Amino acid sequence: MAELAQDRPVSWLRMMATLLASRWRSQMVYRGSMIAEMATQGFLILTEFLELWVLLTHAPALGGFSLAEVALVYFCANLGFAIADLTGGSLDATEALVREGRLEALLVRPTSLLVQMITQELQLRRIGRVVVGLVGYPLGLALVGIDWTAAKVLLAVLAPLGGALVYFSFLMGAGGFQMIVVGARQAANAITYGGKYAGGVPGGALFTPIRVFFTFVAPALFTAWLPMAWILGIDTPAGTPSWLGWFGVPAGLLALGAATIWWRAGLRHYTGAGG
Amino acid sequence: MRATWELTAGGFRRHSRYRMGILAAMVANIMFGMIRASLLVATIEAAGAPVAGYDRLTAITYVWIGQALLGPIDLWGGSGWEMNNRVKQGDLVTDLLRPVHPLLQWTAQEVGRAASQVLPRFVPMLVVGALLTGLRLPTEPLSYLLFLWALLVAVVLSHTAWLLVGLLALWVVEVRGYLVAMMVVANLFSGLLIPVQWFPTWARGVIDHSPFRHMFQTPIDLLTGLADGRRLVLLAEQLAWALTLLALAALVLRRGGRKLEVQGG
Repeated sequence: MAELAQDRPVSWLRMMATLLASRWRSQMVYRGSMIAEMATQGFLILTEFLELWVLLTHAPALGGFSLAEVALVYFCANLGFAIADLTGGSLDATEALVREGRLEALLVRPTSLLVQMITQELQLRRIGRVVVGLVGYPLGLALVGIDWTAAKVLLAVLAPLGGALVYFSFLMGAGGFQMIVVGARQAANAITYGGKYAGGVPGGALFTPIRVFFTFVAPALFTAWLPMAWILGIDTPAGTPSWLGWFGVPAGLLALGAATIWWRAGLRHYTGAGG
Repeated sequence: MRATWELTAGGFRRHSRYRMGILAAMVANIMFGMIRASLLVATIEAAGAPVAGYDRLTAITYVWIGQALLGPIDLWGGSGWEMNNRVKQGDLVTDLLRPVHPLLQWTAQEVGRAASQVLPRFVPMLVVGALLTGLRLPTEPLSYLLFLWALLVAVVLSHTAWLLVGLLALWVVEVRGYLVAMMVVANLFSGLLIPVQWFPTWARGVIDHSPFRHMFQTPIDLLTGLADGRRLVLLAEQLAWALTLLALAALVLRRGGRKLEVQGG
């Protein structure tokens, strides 16, 4: 153990803090540009909601959810995704590292690849999305008119955390997949961004096979629709009862386990070209 | 003429190589198609009546044609990002030195790329859509003929619009923000996410005549039958936008080319 400690004079937490601080300093050099980019990222979340708003100008409800309730689901899912994307967004770009031969440079360093990728490619502009989520989600909760109980408060706090876990797993799984199948990044988008899309709408509006897939295979519907349906007391289709909403965090942990296996499989499969 | 043809053929050959990429893109297109079709159908069912001329089957058909068009039509501006890089890295000079007008070079390559996506992406996507949810396509051949023409013009129109944004790099240092803004506008108002007919009446006056509509919704309308009765008007307006933007791009190139300064080489 003594040798190991000498090998690694800095704990990985210290290392992570140092790396993150360096990223922060380097990106904050261009302060004006960075703030503009953060604002743009935040603005993007709002424009993406326009689609759902137009749909609801034609119908009183979507999957049993009114406009305000749809907005709540949307912001809850987007808050979870924004947190996941802040830390794991770069994992979805593993393919570029493989193609350009930059992965080896990271692999030979004495710190785990995951820690390096999370810290090295951290994009501060993604904070803009988190901020919009942190404002939009509580605002939504306040506006839809909920009879608050302790349990509902607890679930409202747990939901975006479970969401962050679920979406982080998606991004990590996508990274592992990209190491195995180079040139097929878009296929992983079906789960990562498809999951984000499906997770941000009332699941009751989805075709049954899609709803079942994003509940029991890729648990995107645990990130907003199921917990919000429980809090609001809205009926959900048979087979996906709203009490499932309480299992967002466990589902996220399960997904994280599966994603870790994918990531490891990807790493084992990867063969450098000797760059 | 010969050079243009060779450039088109080259674009075709280059982009038909990425077979895995084509397959991967289709997987994503299918997933998004299913989600989008779900939402439109849920809206129509909740409304209890067809919405703005879209019944259940029309909406589903609209979605699958749209997903299929994402192959040939460069709606998300790959060419805009590429042009940004070409200006920044100085590759633009190579294009300017060639004996064919750069706009013609780029357009020819883009048409070749688009053509290479029709058989491996457009057609299979409609087959998948038909198998998954059913489709309703026109039976008279004229619709398909007009559709192919509208598709060609839409390919050129979308490409030119993105080129224009990318060419802004001749004047400003960072084009990224403009490209992202363009992406948002193109997503919303082209008819990719929601049919343009579904927008509120007060917004339609602008959206219905914008170039974005003609990049995507116009070819779709020709196959769903929603263009019936005003097909020629739509096609004329689409062509007018394409020619206008091409002329604008030629002008931008002339002005920008005078300002362009490339070091070394």
